[in-house]
Amino acid sequence: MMTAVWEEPLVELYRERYEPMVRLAYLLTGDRAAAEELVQDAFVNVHRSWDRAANPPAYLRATVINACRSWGRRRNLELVRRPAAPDPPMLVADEMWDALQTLPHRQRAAIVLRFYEDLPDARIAELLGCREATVRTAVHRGLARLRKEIER
Amino acid sequence: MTTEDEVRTMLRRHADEVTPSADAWERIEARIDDQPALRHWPIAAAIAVSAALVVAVLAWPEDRETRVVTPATTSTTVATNRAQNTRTVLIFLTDTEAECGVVRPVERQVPDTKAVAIAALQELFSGHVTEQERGAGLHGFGPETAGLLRRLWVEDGIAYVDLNASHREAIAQAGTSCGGVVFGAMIGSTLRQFPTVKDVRYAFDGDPRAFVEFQQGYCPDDPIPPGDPCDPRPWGVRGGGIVAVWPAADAAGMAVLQEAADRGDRPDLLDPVGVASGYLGELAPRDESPVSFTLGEFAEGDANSGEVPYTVPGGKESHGVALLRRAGPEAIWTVVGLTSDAIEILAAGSDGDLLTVDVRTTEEGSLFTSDGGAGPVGANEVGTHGFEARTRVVSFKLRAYDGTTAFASAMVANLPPS
Repeated sequence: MMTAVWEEPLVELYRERYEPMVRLAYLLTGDRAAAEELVQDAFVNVHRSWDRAANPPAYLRATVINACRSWGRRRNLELVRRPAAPDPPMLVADEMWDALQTLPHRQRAAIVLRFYEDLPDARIAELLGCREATVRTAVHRGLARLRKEIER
Repeated sequence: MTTEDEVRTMLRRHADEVTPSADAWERIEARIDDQPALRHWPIAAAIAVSAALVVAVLAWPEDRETRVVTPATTSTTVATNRAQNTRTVLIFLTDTEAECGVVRPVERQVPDTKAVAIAALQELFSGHVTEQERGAGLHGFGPETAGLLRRLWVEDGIAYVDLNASHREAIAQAGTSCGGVVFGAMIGSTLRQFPTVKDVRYAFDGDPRAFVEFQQGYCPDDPIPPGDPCDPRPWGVRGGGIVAVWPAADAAGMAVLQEAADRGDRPDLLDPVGVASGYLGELAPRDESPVSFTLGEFAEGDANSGEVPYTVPGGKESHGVALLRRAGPEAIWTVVGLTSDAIEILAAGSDGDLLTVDVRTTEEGSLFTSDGGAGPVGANEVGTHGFEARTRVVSFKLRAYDGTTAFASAMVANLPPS
């Protein structure tokens, strides 16, 4: 892989963080293709903002989370205008995963960041731009809805 | 197995199913190649203007109180590039190699909005300093001050800078003697490049006394004379109530921010529609139509989270929402607020005039509250706090915005019954 000198830190960031970020984006969007697209966009943004990003991995993650939120909003608007085609049948029913897709962004993100990324509430609050109490509430509500799905 | 464990397992299982495409890096490179050559523009811009600025700085008189290097007038330095929807402004960074309080101007591109002073200050608070500027001994704020600005408006030559108290720790240095001088110098000089600004006043969440005391100053006893830095009158919110603050002064500025959020260019900026929609999504299923409620006293809002701390009877603190949203570029802006009475939407230009708006109630839902983070308080628990409340979603359409130094996007006031 030929890279310019300035690209080396970005390549390093790519090697370390691309796959985890795609997985995170997938958990936040439920759409594999979109997850890759969003993370690739995020890398372009990180590259563009490299000078101002004091902590590129953190900047990347924040960008991915915000991009996933924006993607979800755009998709919801599109679904309102044009009903989505039915999803292909799943091989294995996964009610909890399905329920995760229906959670509002904040609840979903709070759950993914806490239970997948294992981040402390303070860091999640920072990433979501809310208070720690709000994170706890979002997790509580999200879990309640997921629990309801399990008990059905 | 607990629900938490099941969620963990479920998330890991689905995450492990993801296999990134082999050509991902090539795709990223291709996209980078398609980008305009932006990466080094701040350095290039700094180099391009440095010679002129050095001459100008040397010629500028020092401010008496703060030893701030201040241009007599810099209106000619504010260039507009409407084709690219940006304009050039100066922000002032502290020179760590000079005496305390000496600041130097550097050039920045900001969105071409009427609220250019807000844009300049947002840029200063973004903490963006190039390596070249750092190498020259210039320092600014850190990235943690990105959400520091709550409101800004200019009236009678005075710029009122309302800061988020929740970001107080991010500017802890401003509470020291030299740090306070530097803080005032960077902000004051950045604002005084605009001819309408002669002086600057500060407050935390609309409380000037809090800021003065944070800087280890003292306020005179009541009655505080008009014009005193502790004078609360200019900061007053009509009717008390809550303020939905947005870092844009008008629909155009909001659109610029929205687009930036959509592109992912502003990870420090919450997607306004996304945030509001999230709350609406939470609110919608909770329309349980309470039969009565007694509202607590609203405090001023938290601009960053969009949450509004308020106090319910008995002194218990909780949070609500006061948010702006819209569904598209020309759609109606929506304010989501908590109130028991009429909501009045206000917006003010530099002259303080009210903005004419159409207001209509579109939706009501029951109030959800956060009980100190312990969990949700739904309809069943409302009674235990001795109150009930409900949200009211109000839509309004901005007809016009007049005033080049406008400050707030909208204000949601909790007014007493007429």
